[in-house]
Amino acid sequence: MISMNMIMLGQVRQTQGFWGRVDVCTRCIWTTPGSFFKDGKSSKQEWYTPNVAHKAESWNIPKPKQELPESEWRSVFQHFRPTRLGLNVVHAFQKGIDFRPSALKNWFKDLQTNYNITDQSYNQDRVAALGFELAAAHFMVHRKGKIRFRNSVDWVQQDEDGEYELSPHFIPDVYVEAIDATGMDLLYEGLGSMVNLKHLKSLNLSGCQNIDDWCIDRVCAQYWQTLEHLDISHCTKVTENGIAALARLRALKTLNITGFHQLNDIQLVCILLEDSLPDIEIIGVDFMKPPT
Amino acid sequence: MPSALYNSMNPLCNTRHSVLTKLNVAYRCIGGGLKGQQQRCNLTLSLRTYCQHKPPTPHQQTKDQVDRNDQEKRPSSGYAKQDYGNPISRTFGIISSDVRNFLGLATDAPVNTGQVSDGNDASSGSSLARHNKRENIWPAHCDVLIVGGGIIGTSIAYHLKEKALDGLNVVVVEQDNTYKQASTVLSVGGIRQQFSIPENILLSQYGAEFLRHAHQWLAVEGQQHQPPPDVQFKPHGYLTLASHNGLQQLQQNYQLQREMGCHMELLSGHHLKDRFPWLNTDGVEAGVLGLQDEGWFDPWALLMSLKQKAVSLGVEYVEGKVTAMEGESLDDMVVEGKARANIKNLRHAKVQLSNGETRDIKFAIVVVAAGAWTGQMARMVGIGEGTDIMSVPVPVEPRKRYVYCFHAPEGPGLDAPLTIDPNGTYFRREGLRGLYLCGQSPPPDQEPDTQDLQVDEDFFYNVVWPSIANRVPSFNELKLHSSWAGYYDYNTFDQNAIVGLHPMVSNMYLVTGFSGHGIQQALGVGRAIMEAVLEGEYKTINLERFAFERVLIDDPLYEENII
Repeated sequence: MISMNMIMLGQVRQTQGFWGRVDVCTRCIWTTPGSFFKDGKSSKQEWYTPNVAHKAESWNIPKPKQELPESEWRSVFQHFRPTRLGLNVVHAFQKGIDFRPSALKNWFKDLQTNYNITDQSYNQDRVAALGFELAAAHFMVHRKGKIRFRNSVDWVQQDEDGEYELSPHFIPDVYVEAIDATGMDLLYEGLGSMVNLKHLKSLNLSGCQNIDDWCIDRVCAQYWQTLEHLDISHCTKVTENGIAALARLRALKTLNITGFHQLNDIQLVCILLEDSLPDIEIIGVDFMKPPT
Repeated sequence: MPSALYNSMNPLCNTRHSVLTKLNVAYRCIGGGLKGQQQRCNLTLSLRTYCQHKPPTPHQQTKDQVDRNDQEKRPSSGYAKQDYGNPISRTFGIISSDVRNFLGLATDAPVNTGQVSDGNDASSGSSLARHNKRENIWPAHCDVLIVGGGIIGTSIAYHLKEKALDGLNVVVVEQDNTYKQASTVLSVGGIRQQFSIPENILLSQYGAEFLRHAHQWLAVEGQQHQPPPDVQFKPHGYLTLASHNGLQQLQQNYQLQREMGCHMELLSGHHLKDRFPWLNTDGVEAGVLGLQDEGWFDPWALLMSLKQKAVSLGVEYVEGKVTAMEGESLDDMVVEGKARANIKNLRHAKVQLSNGETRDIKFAIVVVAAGAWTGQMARMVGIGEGTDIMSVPVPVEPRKRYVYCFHAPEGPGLDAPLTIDPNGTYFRREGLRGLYLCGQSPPPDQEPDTQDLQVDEDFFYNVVWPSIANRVPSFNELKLHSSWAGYYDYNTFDQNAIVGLHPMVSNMYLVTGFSGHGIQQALGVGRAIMEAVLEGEYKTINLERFAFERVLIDDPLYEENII
């Protein structure tokens, strides 16, 4: 079913989805956001076929390589002309290899970060096989996070052997209600892998060092209707701009911001958050309630 | 223009086949290309060029020296007296000035060429310190001259230098290092993807991605101990409201934005009222709320971080005003149309420094990113004053826009996106203490005078306040706190960017005309110009539809506004 927050005025159509009739809007939530145009070529075949063929516009087809016309004079050295050498090779030569220990350490750290980013990026095949809810569950639990489903009190997590019990096939009417990412290094791209969760009530990002204001933006974009408990304690990269943006989470009841007491104006932000979200309970920052 | 023509007309298109040495002394031009163009290939550091052009400054230097001897001492411009046009004397001059600096014998006045003055001076960081010492030498030659050091020029400089490193010599000429009148720092700083032209959406998406990585990509090597560059992004989104007449267009735009991968939400009037209780939805049929990657940030922080990173990569900032750009006619390339015309190739620019002195810079490519004054710059080259194609001026002129800051204690609070009324009025929250910014574009027949940046407060009381008070009833009680004015680089043709080579000038890029949304597109456009200069074509975002040719053939590319 179409998610509640998309009020389409006459643009919805039904089509044959992977597991039955689904409502789709053209090219929206079932594809990796923006990836169609980012590298100038079409991403992998989407698993639904749109009604209309994509019009070839000037900005969405890759340009054919233009060679010199035959009649132009070329020297005999054109056979030695580097064809695959591009700007990146020249750039690499310019930059040189930095053998300083600090640079090598940084290079290794970048390698790890890039691996984590690719590892946590949105995976179409995972969603195609499992649906959004179970894909998010598998994503988290495999990376040492914890999941709790709706109508369940137990958390699904890896045991000491690294094994866990989650269905390897799609099951309808299974919804993720709580996600606990403590102990894993969740990134911006990782938050993009857990999308379209209809009944997510609780999100615990405590201790994840790479959560910053942009991740708050992503969380607010996805879960502003359903999220009730958010824990971003000790996420050092979040600033007061991100915490102020949490006013977008209209259903928020509990907010844990332990560790943010030294930010500028944090008390003022908390007071304003209370004005904006009357039911909210803010844990972790000591601020005086204005006398009523 | 097809990219083959770009390639053949681009004097540096063979760079990727050349072997570039660290000393920047010699380029070897390898590979095919039109033979005539090869002969004219304007590689600035070739000896042949020096033999052909006598540097005009020695005469001016003697005249200056005479003036100095006769009259009062002219304040030092911070550059060494010699111009060092000849590469051999230049090498000796650089070495001797390095030796002087090393031994502490430097007598020239401290240089003011774009060092960031907010406490991040490089006391550590070898490349920046080395750069400080070398800045005494006037950059008489460069590969790419960028006229205009605002966000567009700085973004182009950053992207070029970041890709080409020591392979390109980039100089940015900015008339005012305090940026008093620059549109960049006076802008409201919003970023949105709610456009109706796909390229605009792509540019903004890259802008958001760049801002997200700014702390990492703009970190300067010697300064790990300082806090990383922070653009203060506030992720509150944009809300575009539409009346009954604009509903169709809003839906079409929304459809396109969803297709391009933006996270948006289309809300009807009732849902808007439910979501934003402070909003008065009379006359509003629907609205589009941007959920992700939309909001506002600090343009000054972005400009300074970009500039600092560019300077650390080796871009040279010159504080001066370009007063003339001269070149030659390329006799072997002819444009045929109504009449025959020769293509121009610009060679050197005259720069007037702050102390009145005029100096020369020779370049291979010039990028004119002068914002609201690009029309004037183009006229300097003859665009708008010639015949046929050259009679069409660059249709960019400054337009003054006011931004008012007011205090409203009962205002919407934290949960307020940047709201745009159907009649064009916008407002957003500023800070946490009840301040808001607002503004509106005046109707075309009431454009304010652009002589200075004086603010007209009557416009606020008569036009803007009734509009925002109608839309947000709690703004009925407010107090005007402050206001300022800035220039739009307004494209009178179709209010969209003009990006690309001019058809009659073989090495001049025009990057202007953003008409109010330049700050969010600057990063994408910087990368596009980098690709055009280094590779001869656009690789990631194809901006060919923004070329100047659309002005010549009268084919406007309108952004469909919501009314």
